[in-house]
Amino acid sequence: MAAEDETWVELALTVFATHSMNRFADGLGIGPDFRTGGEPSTPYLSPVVESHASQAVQRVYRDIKAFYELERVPGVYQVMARNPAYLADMWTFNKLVFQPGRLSRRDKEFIALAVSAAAYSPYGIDFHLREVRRLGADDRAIYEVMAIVHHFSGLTAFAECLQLEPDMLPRQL
Amino acid sequence: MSTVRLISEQEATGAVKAYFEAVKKRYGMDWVPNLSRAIAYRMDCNAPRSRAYARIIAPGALSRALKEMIAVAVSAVNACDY
Repeated sequence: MAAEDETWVELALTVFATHSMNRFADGLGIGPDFRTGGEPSTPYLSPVVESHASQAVQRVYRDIKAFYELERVPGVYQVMARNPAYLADMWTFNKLVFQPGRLSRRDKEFIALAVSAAAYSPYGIDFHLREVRRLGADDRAIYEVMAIVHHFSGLTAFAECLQLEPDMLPRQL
Repeated sequence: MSTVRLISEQEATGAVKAYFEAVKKRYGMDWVPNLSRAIAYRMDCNAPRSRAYARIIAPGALSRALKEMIAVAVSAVNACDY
């Protein structure tokens, strides 16, 4: 596979991992992990708290906390842990997707923030905003991400409204 | 098939013609994208939009390449083929 193709696949996998986790979190009413204030929310399914988790789940939890440099496990993973095997596989997938490759870890988090904002995921916006800041992004960089989301959300709606046909087949890009 | 007739390069004059030339130069293409041919119906709206776009897509804290990738990701979650 050409290097450029590998980059596009990494981009698509970042969209996959982000969008799927956001849908799981928002669909189950899992509240933001970092944002303070507002009404505390109770998920529609109860989480597997660390103190009651099996040893296998606790191993995954430790890995998640180390990866994100957190004291506690993000809520989305605590609910996903209701099925330990599913949690283990999806965490392995997410960790591999977000590790540096053709794209840097931080660039992947910028993409994840954009995906979260474009799909309006309260959980994802909160999570990935924390991540880009932790990885060194300043307000200027965050504004630039949101300006791209703003402009392309409008452009894509315009194109869909008029049912404009794509200009190029993907392989011509 | 688009729901409006797109403005062709041959019929473009004045501000629309200048816009089409600027778009081709910006993207290094010898043709005008469909979106530009549609939005050119309203150059009064498009002029400020186009200026804003040029500002946000230019390299800044983020590279131009990363911004283009973010744009693709946004289009994907908005389920936009264009």
